[in-house]
Amino acid sequence: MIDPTIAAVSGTTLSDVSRARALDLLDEQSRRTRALADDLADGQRRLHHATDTLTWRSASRYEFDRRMADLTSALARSAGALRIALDECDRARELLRADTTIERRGGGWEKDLVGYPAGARYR
Amino acid sequence: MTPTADTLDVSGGASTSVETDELFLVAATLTTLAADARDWAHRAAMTRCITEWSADAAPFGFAEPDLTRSAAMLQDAAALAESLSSRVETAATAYAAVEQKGADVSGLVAALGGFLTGGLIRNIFIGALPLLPSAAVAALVAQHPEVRRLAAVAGQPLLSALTGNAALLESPAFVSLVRALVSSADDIALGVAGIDPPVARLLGDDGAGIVGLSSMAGALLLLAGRNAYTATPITLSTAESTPVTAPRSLADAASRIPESGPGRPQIRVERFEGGARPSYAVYLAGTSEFSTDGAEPFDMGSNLAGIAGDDAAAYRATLDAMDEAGIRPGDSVTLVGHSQGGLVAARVAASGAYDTDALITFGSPTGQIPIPDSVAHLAVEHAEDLTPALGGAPIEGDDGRDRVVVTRSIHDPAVPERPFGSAHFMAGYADTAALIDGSDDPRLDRVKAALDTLGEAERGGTSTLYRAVKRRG
Repeated sequence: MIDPTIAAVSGTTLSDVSRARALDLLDEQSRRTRALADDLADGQRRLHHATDTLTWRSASRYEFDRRMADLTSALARSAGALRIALDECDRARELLRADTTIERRGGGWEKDLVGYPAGARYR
Repeated sequence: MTPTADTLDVSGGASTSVETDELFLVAATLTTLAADARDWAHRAAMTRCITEWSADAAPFGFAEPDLTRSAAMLQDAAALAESLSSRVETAATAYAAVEQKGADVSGLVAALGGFLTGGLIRNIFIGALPLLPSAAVAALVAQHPEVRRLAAVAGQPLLSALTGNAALLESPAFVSLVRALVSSADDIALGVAGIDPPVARLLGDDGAGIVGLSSMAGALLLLAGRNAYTATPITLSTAESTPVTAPRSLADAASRIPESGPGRPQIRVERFEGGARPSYAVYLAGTSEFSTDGAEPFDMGSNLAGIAGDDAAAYRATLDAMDEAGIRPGDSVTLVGHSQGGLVAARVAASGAYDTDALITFGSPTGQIPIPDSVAHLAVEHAEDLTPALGGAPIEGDDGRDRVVVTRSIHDPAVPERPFGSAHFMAGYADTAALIDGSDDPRLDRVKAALDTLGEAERGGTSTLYRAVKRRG
C-alpha cells in the first residue's frame, strides 16, 4: 500500500518501451511472489502435519506449544504480507496499463538518478 | 501412557517409545523448515529487488514494503524453527536416554528382586531342613482323602481372593511386572543357587546369557516331567480342504486362525497359485490343552519348549503340515498365529528355512525370539494380556529392531465384571486387527504390503485344515 501522506510527483510520462519493461518486471515479480506463497503454504502444511498428531505430554509441552504458536504466527504473517504484495503487484500493473501519466512514489524518485539502479536512492 | 478403547499404540518393540520417535520427526521437520524459511526470505528479498533495481519499474514497486516485511518475518520464522528444532531434539534425546536408563534400572531392579527372591527361597529351604521329617509325615498325611478335602476347603478363600482380584492381575502394570520378572527368571534361579549378585548378572541374560530365559524355560520343561520333554511322534490328518481367496486385510487373516480346543484342527495352510511360484499362508491356533501328557501337540509342554527354543511337538506338527501342503524350504510363506500358534510361527520364521514375508502374532510370547530383518514382523499385544509378557522383555538392539508392536487396552474400567483372561481371547484380537486395518501409521505399511502381495491379482487358492495328535507308545 502506498502511504497517502507521502508526497507524489505527477506528470511523468513513460515511453512505450519503459512501460513494457516495467510491465514485464511486475509480471515477473508477481509470478515469483505467487510461487513463494505456494512454497510457504506447503511448508505450513508440512509443519501442521508433523505436529497435529503429536501425543507428547509433559511439563515442557506447554513451552513447545507456545513457541510453535510463535512460529506458525510468523509464517502466517509472512504469508499475509505476500498476499498483500500480490495485490500491490496487480494494482501497479493495472495502473501502468490504464494511464500514461502516473503518480510516482515520492521521496525515492530523483530525476538525476535516471539510468541508475533504483536501489541507489536508498544509499 | 496406556492406550485405551479403540486407540492403538504402535512401537518398535524395544525401549524407545513412539512419543520419542514423534519428537525426532518433529525436530527433523523443524530443521528442514528453518532452512526453507531462510531460502524463502532470500527469495522474498530478491523478488523485491526486481522493481527496486529497475529505473522503469521502481515507481511501481508498490509490493516492495510487503515483500520486505515478509522477508523479515521469514527470517524470524527460520530462527524460531531452528531454536525449536534444537530444543525438541535435545528433549527427545533426553527422553530416549531416560527411557533406556529406566529400562536398564527396571531390569536391574527386577533382576535384583528376582535374585533376592531366589535367595529367600534358598534360605527358607535350608532353614526348613530340620523340619524335613515333619514335612514328610505331613506329606503322607496329606495323601489321605479327608485331609485333601480339608485342604481344598481351606484353600478356597485363597482361590476366591485370586478370582476376586482378577482385574488387578490383568492390569497393564501387573503385566509389565510379569514381563520384568519373567526376564529375571535367570536371576531368581541364580539367587536360589546362592551365587553372588555380580556373578549372577554376568551369567544371566544381561551378561553372557549362559543362564537366560530360554534355559530357565528348558529347566521348567525338565521339571514338568518326561512327557513334556520327550519327543513324541506326530500323526497328521487332513480335516478339510476348500477353495479360498487370499486374505484382503489383517482382520480377514486373523479370522482364518483355527479355533483352539481339544480335538479341533490346529493348523490351516492356504496355497495360492499364480506368479512364478505358489505362495502360502499358514495359520496356527493357540494352546489346546494345559497338560503335558495328553494327545494335543499344542499343549503346555510345547509352550515351555517354544520359549526354551526346543523342537516343541506343536513346532514339529506345523512343519509336518507345511510339508504335507507342499511347502518346501525357500518357498514364500506368511505366518499368522494366536498365542502358542504365534510362538510356533515365530520359531518357523526365525529358522530361516522359508522365505517368510510376514509374521503376524496375536498375544504371543515372542519378545525374545530373534526374527530376521527380512521378515515383516507385527506383534499385536493387548495391554492386559499376560501371555505376551511371559515371553519376557523384547530383545534390544539389532535383533529386535524390526519388530513392530501394536498395543491396545481392551478393558473398560467402567465394566469391572469380565471373564478372567479375556484380554487373551482371539475375539478381542480380531477387533484389534480391524482397528489396525484402519490405521494409517506408516510402521504398519510393511506388513500390510506383505498381505497385499499375498492377495494380489485376486489369486484363488486352496485352504486345508490339519489336525495333529501325539502318538503315545
